Amino acid sequence: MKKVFAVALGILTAIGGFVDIGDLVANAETGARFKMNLAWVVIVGVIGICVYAEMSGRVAAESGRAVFDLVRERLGPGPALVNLAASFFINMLTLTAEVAGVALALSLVTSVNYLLLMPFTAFLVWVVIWRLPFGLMEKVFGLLGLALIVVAVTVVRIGPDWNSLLHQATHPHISHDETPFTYAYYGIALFGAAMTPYEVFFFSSGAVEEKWSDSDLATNRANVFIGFPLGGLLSLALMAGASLALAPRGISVDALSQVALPTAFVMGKIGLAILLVGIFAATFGAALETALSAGYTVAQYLGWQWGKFVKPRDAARFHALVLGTLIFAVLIGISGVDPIKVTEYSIVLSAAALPLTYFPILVIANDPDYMGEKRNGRLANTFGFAYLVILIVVSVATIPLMIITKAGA
Amino acid sequence: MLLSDLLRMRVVDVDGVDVGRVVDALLVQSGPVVGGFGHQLVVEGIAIGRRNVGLRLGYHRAGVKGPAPLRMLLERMERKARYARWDQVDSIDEDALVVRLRCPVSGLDEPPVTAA
Amino acid sequence: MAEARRMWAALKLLDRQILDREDRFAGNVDDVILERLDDGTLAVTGLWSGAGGLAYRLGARRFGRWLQRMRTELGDGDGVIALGAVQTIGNHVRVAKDAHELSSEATERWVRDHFIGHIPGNDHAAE
Repeated sequence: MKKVFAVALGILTAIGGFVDIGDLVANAETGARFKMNLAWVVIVGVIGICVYAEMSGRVAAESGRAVFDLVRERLGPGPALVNLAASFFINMLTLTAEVAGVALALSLVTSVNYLLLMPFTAFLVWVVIWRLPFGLMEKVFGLLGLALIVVAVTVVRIGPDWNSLLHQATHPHISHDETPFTYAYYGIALFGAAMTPYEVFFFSSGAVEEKWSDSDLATNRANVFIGFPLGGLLSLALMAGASLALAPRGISVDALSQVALPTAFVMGKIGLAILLVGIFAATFGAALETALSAGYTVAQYLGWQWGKFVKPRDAARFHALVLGTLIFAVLIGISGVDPIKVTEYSIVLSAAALPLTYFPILVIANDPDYMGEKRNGRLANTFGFAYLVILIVVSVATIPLMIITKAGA
Repeated sequence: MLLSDLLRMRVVDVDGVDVGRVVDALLVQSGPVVGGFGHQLVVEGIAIGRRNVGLRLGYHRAGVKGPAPLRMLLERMERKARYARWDQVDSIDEDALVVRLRCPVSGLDEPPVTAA
Repeated sequence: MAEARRMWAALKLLDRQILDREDRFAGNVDDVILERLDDGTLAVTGLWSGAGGLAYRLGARRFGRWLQRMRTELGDGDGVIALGAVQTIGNHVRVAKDAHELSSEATERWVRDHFIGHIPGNDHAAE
């Protein structure tokens, strides 16, 4: 019974933890602009993150080594350094966007300008990392993130023509006022939002630190294969809400607060309040994960002591780096950049950098030296390789598309 | 000398024919005993080939087999790898970064695969 | 005697995580030091870990050596771990020492003593 509860809790946490600022923005934006014509990308992305999250959890459990450690070992110090620089930069942008998301949720409640709330938010993130029991916080934010289910309720309350929604999603076409390039660009944004690499850094580092065994792997599988797809459903609900409530009114999502409009229209103040709790939890949880991931990637590349189980003084460089990154992210945030743009760039560039992270995971998952009997079977390799090809195509296409579409304008 | 220096060196055979570059060194734990480690690790031979991206991935010398398309691609890139036992090595020129062999290319085997 | 163990140096040693005897992460194997023995064989005598070794590996060889000299002069040590101090080579390279005793961990100690060690709560693990 206890075991069932633990698994259920893990799944619920995974659902709430799946959505972050990138998913919120990308799904609302594309829903308002393309209706459900890009819904298939979310499904492709969710299957991809399931395949690679399961693989990286298994690799971490069997080898006792986290992703960036293996990236350096397999790619060599030079290519891995290029990877590190790209990953660190993108992760920093993501952290800025998540902190802005938390600050915005708080500012909608308190009516204080979100720019003023960003340093406060970053301080809270740091305190949790520095002092509070992190596993507990992770569960709390994951569960609070379930408040995002209100977006699904919103869609149901709108009472849409389900057949037409489904028809749009299954018969995607590009409307006359869009080009194939903008369509592809927003597709990449959605894909990057679903497959964000920091989730894998965070995930595998946690697994190494918690010294996962075979039974943890079973739990991990349940979390990933049930939790992530349900989280993906929330993403689709966000998209559907925007396509039903914003697209007909000609509203495009230019500000974070507009992500909440469909729910505010349909569910009123209470619905909005619930949604804000969900947004707060989802972005705060993701801010913790990205802040830690900044430390994980660098520390693992250089072999430093890292982790949240050891005293901060015993992982001094790791903590100094996490703190420095948080401060820098806030400085970017309050410099007056548009949080929506930062989010967009972070997910699109994530998509471009994905092969750098996922390719070494795929190779290590096949290494008998590390993995023994637990190495990839035919199914994992078929999906893993198919996604590697997709990732490379996406990666090559991203920058040209960014230039052609002037970043989706 | 550092291992990374060795890995930058070219290899020429007894006739001065270019064999390729040093891509790895096979160590055997058979030297004199040192401290808590036990027998020292000594170089038993060097793998020679073309340096390529797939080199460190483990497809050639560590038994990584999947996914099949990757394996085929990387094995193709490295099929000409050779192995020179230490007794086939004549000299190591650290300034010119050249390893000279005391036998012709034809006297070399393929690198052994070690799983552990 | 069992057959002597064999391993590929670049594959098994380079860029591996070093663990100290308390399972703490204590740097990476940034390079491997090879020396001629009297009988003409080439043997591994130590591991080079830290910024100098990494710079050397990345191609900034003079800078790497300069960094090593500087740090030695400053009293931090040369970042070399003798093979005799290594216990086992597996998924990790385990040394029979405490991370605090390794010269390659001098920067970690400096950041602890001059920065992190001054922030309240630095002595309590979050979990």
